[in-house]
Amino acid sequence: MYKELTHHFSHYLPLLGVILAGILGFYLFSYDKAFQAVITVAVAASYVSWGLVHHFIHGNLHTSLILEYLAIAVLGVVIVFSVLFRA
Amino acid sequence: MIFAARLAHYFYPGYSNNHKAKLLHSTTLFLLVAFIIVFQVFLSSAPSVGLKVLGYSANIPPDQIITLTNKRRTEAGLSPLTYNPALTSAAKAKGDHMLAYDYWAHVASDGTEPWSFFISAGYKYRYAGENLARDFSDPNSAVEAWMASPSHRDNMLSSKYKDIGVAVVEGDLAGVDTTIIVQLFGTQLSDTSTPVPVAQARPEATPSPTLIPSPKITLVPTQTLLPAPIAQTSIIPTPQINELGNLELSQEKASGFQILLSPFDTTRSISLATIILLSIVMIIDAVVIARRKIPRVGGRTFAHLAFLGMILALILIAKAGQIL
Repeated sequence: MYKELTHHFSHYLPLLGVILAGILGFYLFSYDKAFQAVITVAVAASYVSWGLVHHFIHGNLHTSLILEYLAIAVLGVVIVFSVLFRA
Repeated sequence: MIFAARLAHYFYPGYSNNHKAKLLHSTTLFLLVAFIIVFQVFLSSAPSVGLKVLGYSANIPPDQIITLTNKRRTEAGLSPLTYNPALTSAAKAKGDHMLAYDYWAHVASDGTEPWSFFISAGYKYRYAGENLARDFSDPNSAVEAWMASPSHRDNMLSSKYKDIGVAVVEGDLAGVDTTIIVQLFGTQLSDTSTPVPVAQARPEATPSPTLIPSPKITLVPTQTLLPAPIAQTSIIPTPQINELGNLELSQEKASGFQILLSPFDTTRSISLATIILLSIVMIIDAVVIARRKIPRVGGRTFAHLAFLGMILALILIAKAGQIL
């Protein structure tokens, strides 16, 4: 994990940027739950897209990988929605 | 021994799980998603199957809302608002109307507008405004939420208003026992003094249709989000009249069986536990695989951890309560 991160740090910068922007947007729009939900879905979609592009570049894009990114993204969105709309 | 092997199967990479903790398999993750959805459906459907649930048992003294509002106004260089009994009666009438007609909006489904409560309470206004909040655990959280919203903040920090009235009502709203805060602002028609200068530039509130010819009205834009049912079995605190004539929730609890479980806190705790557990298992999985130098087709652990970290942050940022 560490070696991969240091060797391809530039690959991770866009992902980190999107994630940080998502956190900031979620915080700033705390009064608008619908917009917070949109932000969450947008970041999750970006994360899956990042995974697809990253593994495509590395030449190891497999169905199991797509499912893995998708599963984590859906889990994240469902968890945030459950908290957001329970509040 | 068998139990330890089972645990290892789910949380530690090895031969039995194809060198990847079973918890991190896509199928298990989708099962987790299904579990969370079923749990939320259970919480939401509790009222419809006859289970009496409580949204939030909150002790919110209206006078504290007024104090906090005036504190914010003073900080903004504005004069504090004066407590007005007629506005308080109007606020209580609005809250009771919302519960009686089962709606969470500025304008009732039968077309009743907030301003009619001002008139009914005998408050003839030049300017009027309304902020609503529900399911907040304390007065400060509600005031903070209003201040975070530009339209609500405009109401709270408007130099047009001279009076304030706040009521906290509790009752059944869409099958869920809910605490609603109604905050009304106004300036009487007889008050002809010019507005107090504003310390900082703020947009002027948009006038809305009036019930009487001359007054100008400020209406906070209505959000379309519907309140999510909140499941909690508890005892509803008894509303009491405080020295200001406002409704105040009693700390007394009726006797009988009760489950003190906040749906929001429960959901948040389960969510946090899930994310933290997944992150820990992911880190252990990555370390073990790296040490054993096992070639494996898998996603990038750092990317997964970064995403889960964001989810963790969002859960912590999310707050209970809604404003309107």
